[in-house]
Amino acid sequence: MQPAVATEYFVVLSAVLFIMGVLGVLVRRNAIMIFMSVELMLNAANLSLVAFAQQWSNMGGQLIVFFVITIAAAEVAVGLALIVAIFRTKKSIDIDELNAMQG
Amino acid sequence: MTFELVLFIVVAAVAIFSAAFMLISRNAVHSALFLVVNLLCVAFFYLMLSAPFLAMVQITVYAGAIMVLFMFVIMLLGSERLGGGTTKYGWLAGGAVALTTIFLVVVFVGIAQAQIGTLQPQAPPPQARFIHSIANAPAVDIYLNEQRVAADLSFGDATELQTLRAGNYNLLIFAACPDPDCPSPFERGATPLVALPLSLEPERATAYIVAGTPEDLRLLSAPLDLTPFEAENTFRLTVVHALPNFGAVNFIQEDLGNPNRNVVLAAELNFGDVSPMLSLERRQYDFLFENLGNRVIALREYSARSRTHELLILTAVPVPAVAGAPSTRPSYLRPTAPAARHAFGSPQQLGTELLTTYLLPFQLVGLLLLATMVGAIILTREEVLKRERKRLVVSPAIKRINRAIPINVSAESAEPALPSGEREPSAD
Repeated sequence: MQPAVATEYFVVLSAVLFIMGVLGVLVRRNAIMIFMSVELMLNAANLSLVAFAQQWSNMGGQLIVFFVITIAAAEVAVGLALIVAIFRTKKSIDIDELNAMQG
Repeated sequence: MTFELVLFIVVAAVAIFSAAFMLISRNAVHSALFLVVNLLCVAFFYLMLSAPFLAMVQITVYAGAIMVLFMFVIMLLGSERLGGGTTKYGWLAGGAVALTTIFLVVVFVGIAQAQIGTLQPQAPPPQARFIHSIANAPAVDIYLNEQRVAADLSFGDATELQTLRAGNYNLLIFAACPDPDCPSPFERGATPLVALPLSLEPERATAYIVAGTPEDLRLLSAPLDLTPFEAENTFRLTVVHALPNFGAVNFIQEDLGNPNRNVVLAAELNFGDVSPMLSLERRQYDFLFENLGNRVIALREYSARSRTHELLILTAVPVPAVAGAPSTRPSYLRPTAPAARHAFGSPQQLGTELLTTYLLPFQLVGLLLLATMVGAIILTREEVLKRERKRLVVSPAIKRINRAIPINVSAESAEPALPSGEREPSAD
């Protein structure tokens, strides 16, 4: 059965969204914005996984997406807790100022 | 250009623009709201890609729970306005754009070269089950080439559906050996009762029924349709005539109140015939096997589980020997029906996979979520933060190293070398 929209289109869209997430991580300096860009990248990867799952009629892709969503939720919870903790000690979440690990 | 393609292009444009606005927006709340729009677009794509359950999870978990968490933290920290001040790493933005452009070009070339559309999924392997339906025949072992597919199958027994490799086989039926330590029939050189070629094709599921008389074994094959059901509350039924030397039978759905409204579901089944597959609504039925106007067997209040493929085998059961009477009487076999597959991407299929193949990852993810919860609580506890602050200010690393190692390094001379960022920047 030929799908209504070719898998290539979904993969290209997923690549574009992923690139935008990468740009966000590299360019923005606010830690919350960086987190949101990481979510964008995770979503882009999920989209291509679901597209390939349909192409191959294989449930594995969809299940991995399910796990990725769960782990993204865990990651956001811990990440935002870290941001709150950093903000309380440094009064800023600008990553240019978070250089305590610098030699 | 199909309707789906137009829809895809529109929603993809919305997704890309919302992602772009998320990146360039100077207000963190606006960014978060644009990200919600993007996540909803992705949920829509999941629906297009036959993953309805994931689409719902995406909306509830991502666009719901995770974004609420983001909004909460943005509001809590009061960081809606993102500082537009100068950065130390201004060159990074230009480099990032250049690198990602190169990456995008490489990805596009890769996708164009890969010819994804021509990839075809592998056909699922064939499945088979074996049923013994001869009342007076001894138990049998069934082999496909040298692989045993049914062991000690006696009258009325049916194996589960087994997944086999597609290909041509030699099917051999041997009389079962009563001794459990018996060597295989190939080792002891037994002659098979029946030997016949069998071709298994991918995607097919078949029930093979050992029928006939003890002297003349036959193998009947009834195709099973395990494709997903369109409608709820229906089941499939196939009737097999496996009663030798009996003559043609009709399979009738009886209306007990009004005999004129009886429906012949399968007419003129002779020995070895398999009826066409019947698709029936799930309720109680009264069925009748009829031979030349005589009632053979009546099945009262017959009901089946929905989404299964039932098999009804007309055969004979032995009766206590009475002089002059036949030693068997007609009866029927109804082996446990296999359930049909669930539709691709349906919640049922996802749940089945999660609790079978992916049970261990599922448990690990649950454990990870628990650890995350504990970790988030510990990270944001007031006492922990205070202690960390105190340690950073009062006891810099060099002092603690001095205490731990008894070599006398002067703390006063070492301290100015510490980078200023190590210390608490604020006044408290």
